[in-house]
Amino acid sequence: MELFLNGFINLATDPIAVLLFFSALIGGLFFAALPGINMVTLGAIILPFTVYLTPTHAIMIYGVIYVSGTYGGAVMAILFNIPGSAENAPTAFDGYPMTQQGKSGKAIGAAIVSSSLGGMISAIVMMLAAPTVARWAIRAFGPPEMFSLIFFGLSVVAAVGAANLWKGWISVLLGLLLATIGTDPSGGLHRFAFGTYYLLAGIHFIPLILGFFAMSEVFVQAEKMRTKTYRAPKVGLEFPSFMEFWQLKLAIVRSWILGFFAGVLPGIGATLAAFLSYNEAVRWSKHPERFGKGELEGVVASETANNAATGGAMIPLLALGLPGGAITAMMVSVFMIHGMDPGPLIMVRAQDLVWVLFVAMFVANFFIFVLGYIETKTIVNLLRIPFRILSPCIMILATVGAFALRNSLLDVWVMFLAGIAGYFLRRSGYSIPGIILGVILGNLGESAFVKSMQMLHYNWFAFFGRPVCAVLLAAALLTLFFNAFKSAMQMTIPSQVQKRL
Amino acid sequence: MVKFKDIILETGIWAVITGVAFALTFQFNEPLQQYRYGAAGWPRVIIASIVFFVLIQAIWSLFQSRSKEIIMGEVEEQVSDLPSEPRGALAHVKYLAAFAVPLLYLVLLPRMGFYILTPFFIAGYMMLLGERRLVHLIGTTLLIFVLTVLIFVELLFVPLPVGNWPGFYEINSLFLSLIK
Repeated sequence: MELFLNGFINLATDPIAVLLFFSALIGGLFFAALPGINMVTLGAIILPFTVYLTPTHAIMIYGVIYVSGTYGGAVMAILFNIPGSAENAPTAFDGYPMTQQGKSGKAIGAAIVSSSLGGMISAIVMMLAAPTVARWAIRAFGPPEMFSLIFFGLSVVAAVGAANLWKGWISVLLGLLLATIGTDPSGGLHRFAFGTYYLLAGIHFIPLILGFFAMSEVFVQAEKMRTKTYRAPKVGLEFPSFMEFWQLKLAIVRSWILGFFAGVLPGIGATLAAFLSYNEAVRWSKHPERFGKGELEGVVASETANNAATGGAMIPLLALGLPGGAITAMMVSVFMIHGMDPGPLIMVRAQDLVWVLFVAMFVANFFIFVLGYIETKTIVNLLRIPFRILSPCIMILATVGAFALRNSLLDVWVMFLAGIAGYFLRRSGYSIPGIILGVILGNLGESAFVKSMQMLHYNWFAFFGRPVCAVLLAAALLTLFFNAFKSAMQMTIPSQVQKRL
Repeated sequence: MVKFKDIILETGIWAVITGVAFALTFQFNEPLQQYRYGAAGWPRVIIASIVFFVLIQAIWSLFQSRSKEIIMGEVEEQVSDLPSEPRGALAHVKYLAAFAVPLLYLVLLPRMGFYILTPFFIAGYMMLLGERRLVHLIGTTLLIFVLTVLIFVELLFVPLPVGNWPGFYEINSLFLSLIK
């Protein structure tokens, strides 16, 4: 408590720190909300300027950007079905249908409160348990466990978001296949590169997200406008009530646990946390059929988990010097720029810095609640803009966002082709988030598998000799067989016929 | 309800994709000393899995269609939950234009440059979707263009394409020098 108070006083009594705090808060929210650019872009832009800042100020900025940026992408996901980042994709599953039903304010309100709660509790646990949790994570998780977790995560994702289980799996596998483009992790051989330098680096997931979500959404809505079936979403400014949240308390707790521990694992982070949490919300719900059609619990599960992951991600960074993702990797760079060795001794040698970071992340989560409430009453009015005016804006932002990634028009072409493909895939009932997650986790999963095989001397059964692997693989196989059985039952008696009878 | 020809078409597309991908794996099918399964192992497992699930999906769709036929006694057309107008030739042209106009924009972007081409694209796409008010067309175009330039060029220093066709390069560069 004393350390927390010291950290708070150090932050609050430093006018430069306060200014940087609010700048990072608003910057993270703003950048994450725009399609094509996200908090990583903002982090990359300000990295060179951190030379002129104190280490405390510099690290604090990134912590705040991480918190506000993770929530910021939810707004576009809910209003326009265009997630700002991959971890906001599950939020769109139910957030966008809620917007179409005129409940956009309620959806954004739910995202605010869940993000804020998930992040604040995560920050508290981070303060209390960073070294202990980090030591457990490093000892318990090797390549076999990483592969098993990714396999479990993908089996979960395959079960949601598509017209049926088979299309869900095809979507995930398509993403995995796209992720193989480039060089293989075992021997560095070129795969599906066709001799071009561009494809040697692989297809980046940001143009794919922009294409599959933003561009395809524009095409879908443009078609509806042409066939006069377009219905402008009603603007709803209502904020969710306390009772609505109280009824979801179990979902919030479960999502927080999943999000926090997924955030601790390097590379997995908020994206898988959000998908896992959403799937568990569906699995444990008394009315799973309501998910995907505007169920508040879907938004709550996803946003609680992805913000809970932010605190978890700081643990391996601060306790062990291991970055878990792009933002935390930049934080390692900040340490090194200032001549500090990221690692366990940071928590001893730079205790003031660490506690300012903890306090800043905690307070940032609180301010998300305040700013988000204001946002609920203001940003939702974007829905009043006619789509024929909004669509070219989305397209230009997506085009420039894809180009800005690597200053390459090929990324823009990838985005456009993904938009066309996404348009047809969505019409056919395939899962776009499944494809995206397959792309994101494909390289990590293959790399973990290669290392696992080398470690375990190509003995597949050795996976089941490791407790964590055994549990995760068993859960994945059970998920797969249970969903297959459910699909087979539906095949025997189609649901529409069941309703008629 | 999905028609038989849709199922065959969908299955055929996946067959082509997986067939081509599998054929390409032979280009990097070299044995690796440090890894038994080689660079082609993982992609081939994925391709085989896609084929497996595509076949199940096709059988599942056929079985579902057949079940509905038997129980309902008629073939139902897939019905949208929203009413739609019958499409005429003009509607078809506009439908295709919704895809073709962005495609044309991308083709011309490196040639004509972002600063000249984008305002025309914004206005053109709005008109395609039905906007006719001149104030909105000009105002929205200017607003989107100015905001994009402010955020991406001024703030983020993104080097947007300036074109390579004679004349267009010079005009785009002049515009850039003016705003800098």
